[in-house]
Amino acid sequence: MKAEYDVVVIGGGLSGYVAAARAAERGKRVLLLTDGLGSFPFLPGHIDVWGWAPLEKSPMVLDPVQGIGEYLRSQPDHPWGRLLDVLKESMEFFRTVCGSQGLVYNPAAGRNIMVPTPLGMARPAFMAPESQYVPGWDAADKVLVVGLAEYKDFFPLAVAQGIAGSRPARDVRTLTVSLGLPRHVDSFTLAGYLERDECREVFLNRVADAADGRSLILVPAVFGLEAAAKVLSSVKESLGVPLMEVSTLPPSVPGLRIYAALRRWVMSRGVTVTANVRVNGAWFSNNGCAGVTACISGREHKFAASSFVLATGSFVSSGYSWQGGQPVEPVMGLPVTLPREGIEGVDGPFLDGKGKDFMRVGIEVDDNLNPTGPSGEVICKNVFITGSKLAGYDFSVEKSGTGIAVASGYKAGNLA
Amino acid sequence: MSIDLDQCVKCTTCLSQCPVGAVNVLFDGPKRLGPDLARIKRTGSEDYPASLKLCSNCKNCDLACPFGVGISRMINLARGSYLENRSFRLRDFFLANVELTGKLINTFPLNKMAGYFTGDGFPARIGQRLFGLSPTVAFFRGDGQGPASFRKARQRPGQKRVVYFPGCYAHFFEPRIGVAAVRILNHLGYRVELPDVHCCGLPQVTNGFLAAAREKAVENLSLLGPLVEKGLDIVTTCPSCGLMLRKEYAELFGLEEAGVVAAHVWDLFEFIGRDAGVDSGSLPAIHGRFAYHAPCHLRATGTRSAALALFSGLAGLEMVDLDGGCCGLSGSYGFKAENYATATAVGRKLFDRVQEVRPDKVLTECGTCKIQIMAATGLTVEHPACVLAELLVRGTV
Amino acid sequence: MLKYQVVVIGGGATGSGVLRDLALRGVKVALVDKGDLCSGTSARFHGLLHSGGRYAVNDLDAARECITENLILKKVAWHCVEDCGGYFLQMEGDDDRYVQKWVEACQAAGIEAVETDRDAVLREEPCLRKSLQRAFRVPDAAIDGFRLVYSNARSATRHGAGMYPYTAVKEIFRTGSRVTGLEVENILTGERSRMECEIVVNAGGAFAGSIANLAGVDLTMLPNRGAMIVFNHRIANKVLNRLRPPSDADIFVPHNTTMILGTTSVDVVKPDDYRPSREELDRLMTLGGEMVRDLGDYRPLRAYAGVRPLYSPGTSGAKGRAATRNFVLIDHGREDGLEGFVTITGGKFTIYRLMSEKTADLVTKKIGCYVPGSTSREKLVEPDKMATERVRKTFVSGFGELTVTRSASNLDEVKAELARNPLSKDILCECEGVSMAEVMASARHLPLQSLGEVRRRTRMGTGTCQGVFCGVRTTGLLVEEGFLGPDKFGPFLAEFLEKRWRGQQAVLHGQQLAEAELALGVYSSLLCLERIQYGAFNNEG
Repeated sequence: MKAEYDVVVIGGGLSGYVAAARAAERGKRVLLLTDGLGSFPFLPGHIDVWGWAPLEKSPMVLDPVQGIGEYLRSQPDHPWGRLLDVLKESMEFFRTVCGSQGLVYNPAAGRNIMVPTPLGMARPAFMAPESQYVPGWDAADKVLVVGLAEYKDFFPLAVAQGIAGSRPARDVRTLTVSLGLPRHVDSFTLAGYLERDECREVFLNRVADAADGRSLILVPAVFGLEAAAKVLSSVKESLGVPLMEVSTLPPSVPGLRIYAALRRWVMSRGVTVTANVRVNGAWFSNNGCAGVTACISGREHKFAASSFVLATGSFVSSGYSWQGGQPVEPVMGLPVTLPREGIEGVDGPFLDGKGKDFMRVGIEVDDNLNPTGPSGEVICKNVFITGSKLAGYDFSVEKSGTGIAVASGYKAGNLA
Repeated sequence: MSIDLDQCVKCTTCLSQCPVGAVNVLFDGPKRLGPDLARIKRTGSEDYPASLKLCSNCKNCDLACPFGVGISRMINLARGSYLENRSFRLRDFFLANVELTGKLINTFPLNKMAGYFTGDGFPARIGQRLFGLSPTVAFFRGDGQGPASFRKARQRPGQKRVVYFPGCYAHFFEPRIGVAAVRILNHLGYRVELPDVHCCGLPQVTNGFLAAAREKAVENLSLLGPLVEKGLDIVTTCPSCGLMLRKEYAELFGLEEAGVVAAHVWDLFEFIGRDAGVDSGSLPAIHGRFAYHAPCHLRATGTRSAALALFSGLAGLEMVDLDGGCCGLSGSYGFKAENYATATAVGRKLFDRVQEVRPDKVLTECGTCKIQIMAATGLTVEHPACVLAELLVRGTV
Repeated sequence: MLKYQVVVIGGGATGSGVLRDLALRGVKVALVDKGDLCSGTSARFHGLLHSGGRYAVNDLDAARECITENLILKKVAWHCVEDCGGYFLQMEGDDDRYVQKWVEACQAAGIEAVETDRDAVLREEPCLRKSLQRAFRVPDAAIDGFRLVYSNARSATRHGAGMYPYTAVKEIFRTGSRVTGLEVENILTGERSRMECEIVVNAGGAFAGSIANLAGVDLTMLPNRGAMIVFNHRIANKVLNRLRPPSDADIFVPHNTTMILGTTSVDVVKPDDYRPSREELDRLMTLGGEMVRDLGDYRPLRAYAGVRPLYSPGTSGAKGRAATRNFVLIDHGREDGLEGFVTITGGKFTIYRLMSEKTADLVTKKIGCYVPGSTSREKLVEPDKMATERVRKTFVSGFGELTVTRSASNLDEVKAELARNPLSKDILCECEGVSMAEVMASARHLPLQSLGEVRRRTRMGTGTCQGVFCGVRTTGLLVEEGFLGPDKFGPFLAEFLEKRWRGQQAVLHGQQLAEAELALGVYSSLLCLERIQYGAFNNEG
């Protein structure tokens, strides 16, 4: 069968899209098979590389490369060890791609910046979208935190407390604005709503007075989706005060903005993007993986290519199926590294800086992101593992997920 | 369905892809109306949320779900139960029973009066207001050929046989699509069988007439089943009919015999691609720019548009994939006056895309997508089968 | 110094039942509990309102008590009971002779057990194994223990009773051979105070032994743990009982939106040994799977356990199921020479009202103010169909009904919230259909030491996602409405999540594992809650 594609990317999450984008940039014919949106609805918007070492009381990390380096000394198998070589390039690539679609990220400074959590606490991040970062925000005086009466997932008092935190002298005010809607709405619907000029007018009229004299305004990240750039600039212009969006609970509008930007970019570069395609198998030849199969509406489809990127994600992205009570990798049957004591009945608190063993489940790889077997031998030279499919890290406590996704996706796109 | 309920992890991916949720603040969204409601309903609570009516059944939620939860199925079942206990609305009855409405509209004297609703003039507007129809109805035009004129088309003799399932839109309103399909299939060496199939049932599903839709499904399967057993495949030109035959008959109605038939149902261009019977390179060149709109229901059957692929291979033609999302009309949904604003807002992104691309023509397989795009952009919209048939027959377009 | 005629220790079903019964009889009574009301065994049973069928063969008296109370509670606690009915199911291999004995015993006990066509039952409940032999319909029902306890407490306070949650008993005072009062400590403030009373009722459940010790009385409890698994959705709509001698894993109970499978019987030492063992859970799945087909395919949400307050008079050492499940009312004046101290223990949830009535009878006789009790007739809440309908229509249809059913005993308060803010009709916990108005109505009068107080009263966080969204939403609402200081956001939310986690750890596979990953994505990755716990954000600069 003549292969229509050079690279097949399985999984349309953050790392899958970055891999497809990079491969397309290198002139490859790329097919992206997706089922679901991966973690896009959960991404806070900022790209995180390394926020804390996964230890109970580790300090906040200001220099992520240094922090990772320290950690690698005791845990050399952490995926960052294989990705630091592409860190800078991959972040620039991500920034360029998003920027070309109107989603502007501030350039990465190399050191962590501080961004607010949804509770207003300053936490480290590597690269933030323009709309979610105003330099000096955490020292600004005369802050106004604006909530919306019809959006129940943003807490102005809590955010104000989080910002004021250790500086009770800071003048932080809160305001809750009613948009006049008959019911509460989620962030996605709200973003669409605020794209309408007349709806935005209502908001602006009700904030204008309180905004007067303020040096910074914080709002939930719901100001537009496809038209976010236009919406945000019109709001900023109208209020005349620096504005900063704070990330929210899912569905995350900043995450969906990234999805839209990446998708538009890859499609404009000729990548074939499918939807609702569940890849369920693969066949192999002497050169490694030769193709993958998918069952689409009861019909089996085969997709042959020279290289494959397995970006199917972790449990929440349905990246594993279950057999005999154990998670298995359903596309190529690659060996899944599991915690020694198993997953269930594991002791320990829910909130634990050390992270969880089940979060570290994944496929082990070598420096080329090729999957390796129990003795470290490469299983397939033309298969590349990216994102949360990689073993050995817990994105939730390290605050490293988006960074690893971008870097590994980029590296896979380089090598595929 | 029982186990399906367990698959949902409340990730909100579905609601982040809902075209109605993006534009209508009153809509409760697919997560709440689908798996949340279905789970709560098992406690025997009686009521249903009114916003069930706002779901357009576009299937984008199903497409987005990483765990394959049958969200739209849950919503359709809930909507059916909700509407069961509500007062009967004549308008919805006619919009749902396309077979009946199609027959009436094509029968004297109604065929003369139909123009009152579908024209632009004053009588049309009165008619629309009286019946609660949206202005989009004005763009619903027949193609002037008698209903199912493709039945009378003279067929070329063929060694192989194939079944054509036209769907009500082609049957009653634009039979030239059927004529085109027969011509193309003849060209591929097939003699086309045209059993007396019924409406696929989709409009009845969306309007809550689930039992009636199920009956249609059973009747259609009883006609198609024996043909499939003889080794014939079934070709559709309407993505909604394709969706019903390939997925909904089995998943929504739980009809076991549906699985056997589903495996043999093909979108026309998918079928062409499978047979590799038409080589784009051998077709005459078209000079110009066409834009392609992928109907939601075609995407829902996982068919990567074969029509787009075929036309992209034509010499001289610049083929643009609009990738504009849902058109908003969604069958009978956008013909209802109360949904007009939502339907128009949903399609806005697509319409803007069309204006951006400025194509000579827009191609799309779905009849109602065609109406919506025509209404919003004023451009010529064609079923790709009609264009291909012209190319095959006349060598030029 | 607080003065009461009677102080009840323990705020579970029995304690709150005694409180209400006495309050209705005009006694000046108060209740103390070291935690929130309904945090002990009453919070950790399977939610079954027994018909008595389970006890018919082995304990006819217990069975009679059950059916009598079953019918009473359906009337007086109508808003807490889902009269779903139940089946007793003989599966392949279950002893025919036992079935015969059972049928006769049910008849003798007055339990309506009607044989139902096996095929019809299989059609009605397709989850059952085809190895079903015979099926009998019984008047089992599902009861929400939390709602019942809080309703009792509410009724009691309306009749003048005092309520002291988060109040631990430190000392029980006696003068000679008579109890005179208690010293208690408010565990939230550390403040100590004295309560003077004539009689102390020990309704401490599994903790009754240590309470009795404070009074200088020896009461050896035989705590026995029973584990349960909660499944994500209602696998069946009736209670499913195994028709064979009572054993492990032979009950499935529909509980609101979920299904509970129970139970086991493991002797334990500590009265709060709530952690089910791996063996217990495996046993539940294996044996439960003999009734329900492909049980392993259903999604478990959590596993939990309760500790039965078993007690056997004398030192016969009768343990576990052999020990009587009838209740024991001990007048320590007669038994131990200590007047003014009464213990009510043993028993089961279904007969709590009877236990409370007997206790109140004894107590009022001792005080010398005996009047007959009225709890078998007086409804906890009078149904008001019109008011309920009006309120129900305000909420989102399909979801709002649940708010209204749950709020029968505080409908006025819910209405007040809606009047304050019409937007509060909207849903906070989407899995369980819990509205903001419902949360506000319950939170307004709570000490809010823990989000669990709101959870128990409204069911927020008890559904599919186990609080991933509603945990932070509810905490946020409480902060924005001024019920909780913003600086408490993190710790309050964290405590709730840790408690939710404990139940999920044992069932971390399949979709629940995916759910846990999502939860960590929201709480750790996004909110950095673990870092709030470590004080990471308290730095200067």
